[in-house]
Amino acid sequence: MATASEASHPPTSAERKAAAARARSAHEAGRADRHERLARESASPFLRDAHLRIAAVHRSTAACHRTAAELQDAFAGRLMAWACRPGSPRPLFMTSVAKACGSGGAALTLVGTEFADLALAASDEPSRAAQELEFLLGEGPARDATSTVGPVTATGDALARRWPGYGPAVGELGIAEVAAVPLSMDGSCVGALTVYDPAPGVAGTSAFAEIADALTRSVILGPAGVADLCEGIDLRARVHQAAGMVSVQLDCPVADALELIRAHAFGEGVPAHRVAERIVEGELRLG
Amino acid sequence: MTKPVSQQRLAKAFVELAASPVAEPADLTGLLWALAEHGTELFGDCAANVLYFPDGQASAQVAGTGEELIDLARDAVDWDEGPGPEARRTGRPVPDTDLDGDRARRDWPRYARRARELGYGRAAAVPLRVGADTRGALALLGPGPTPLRPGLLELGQSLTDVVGWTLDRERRLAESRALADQLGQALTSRIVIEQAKGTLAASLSISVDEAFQLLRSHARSHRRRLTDVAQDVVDRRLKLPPRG
Repeated sequence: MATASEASHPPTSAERKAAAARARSAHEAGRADRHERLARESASPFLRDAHLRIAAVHRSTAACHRTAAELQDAFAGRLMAWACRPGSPRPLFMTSVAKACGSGGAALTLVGTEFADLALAASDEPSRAAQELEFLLGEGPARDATSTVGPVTATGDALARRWPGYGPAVGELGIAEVAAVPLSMDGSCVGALTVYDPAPGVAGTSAFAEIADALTRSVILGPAGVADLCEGIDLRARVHQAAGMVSVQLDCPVADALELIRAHAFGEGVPAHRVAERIVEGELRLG
Repeated sequence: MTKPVSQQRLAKAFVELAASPVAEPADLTGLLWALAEHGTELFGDCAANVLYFPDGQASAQVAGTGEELIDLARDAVDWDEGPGPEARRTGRPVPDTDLDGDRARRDWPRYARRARELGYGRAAAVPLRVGADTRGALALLGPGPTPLRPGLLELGQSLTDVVGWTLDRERRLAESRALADQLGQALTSRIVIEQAKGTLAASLSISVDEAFQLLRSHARSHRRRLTDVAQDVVDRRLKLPPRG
């Protein structure tokens, strides 16, 4: 197991992150204990109430960091197994997230003010394909979860009723149920976590939202920042390069060029990055 | 600058205080007033005032029940005397002290005299802790020579801790909003750079890798941020000449 640098050894790094998350959890639990004690000792009803509310905030933050530690532990376990099997594909952090959600597949979308869809990370190919549909069509559960900052779930026929384009298309991927929760912290929404065909009942449980919360606080906006996810995160670099090229070729704004690429990809039934690849290679000209 | 605070408003302020208002910042001045007012009410015939230094050494915000107390709190800050500034400086409670005693006369000569003139005989304070820092204090003043009621300082500390927690929470909220913004900006600027690579590659008939070199050397030689150069290229405000 020895490597030249421990920091670059993936299982060790995940274990260290797990330990850090556990330490943060313990710290928060300690603060909750303290405020619960203060509430018990409090003579004033206002104060008692205030301390109990404060304790509740710390309890929930403690739970959030504990969940993050469990995610990192599970990921470390996968990495360990992977390290013993030379040549096997490297596990993705998102796979641990999907498993923790009781789902075969999960995708994470990050949104910004300027671009509705900044980046994504997916646990597997079908989840990536489903998220790609959302990118191409501009509608779907992640988009709704971020715009309403609330949970979204749809099953079977409801998929097509809710999203006339996305619903049938995601159905063709063999997906019968989608559920998404916003990645939000203290009023800032940075994206959404979507699961595909979760185990029965998962969508309604608080566990799903807790995992999203843990991802947001401890991973995405955590001390290491999005660097934690970076290995698995996709900014669609090729698609944006192609959009730049199309904007010159057609003398149009880059946003319109992006729209054209999306429409072309959906029309052809291929992912946007395939179309982009051909544009960048000079094999395809739109317009 | 006195501000009458009704019983109802007080109750509301304290409920709001810890009610996790996630998006909007709490009414800071309101909190300080509530602390002073509620303190006075809880502390029976004791008067209370609050000092708060939002950013380390910058000017203090003070709140108290009545003009005279507010003036006294301001003077205490100016003179750096009295239990409030002391609790703030040391981060520890200042126990009940006789304002006519040796210690008060020695350490707080001006403050002790002014407080006595206003009819107070005892003074104590607890620190206002915001996260790991002490950012102010709650000072308690008792009428006449009778020592302060036992347990009063603990009560004051508990009350002050709630306010300190709320102030700290505001700070953490601002930090997480900044982090979310940074994340969005970091991703957006990487996207704009990719778009600029494509824009340059198409207009100069070069590869995207060559386009990136061109962007980078332009940014370096003009001492501009790569993101800004990329944005100008994407918006067609900047046309880069081919290299060589």
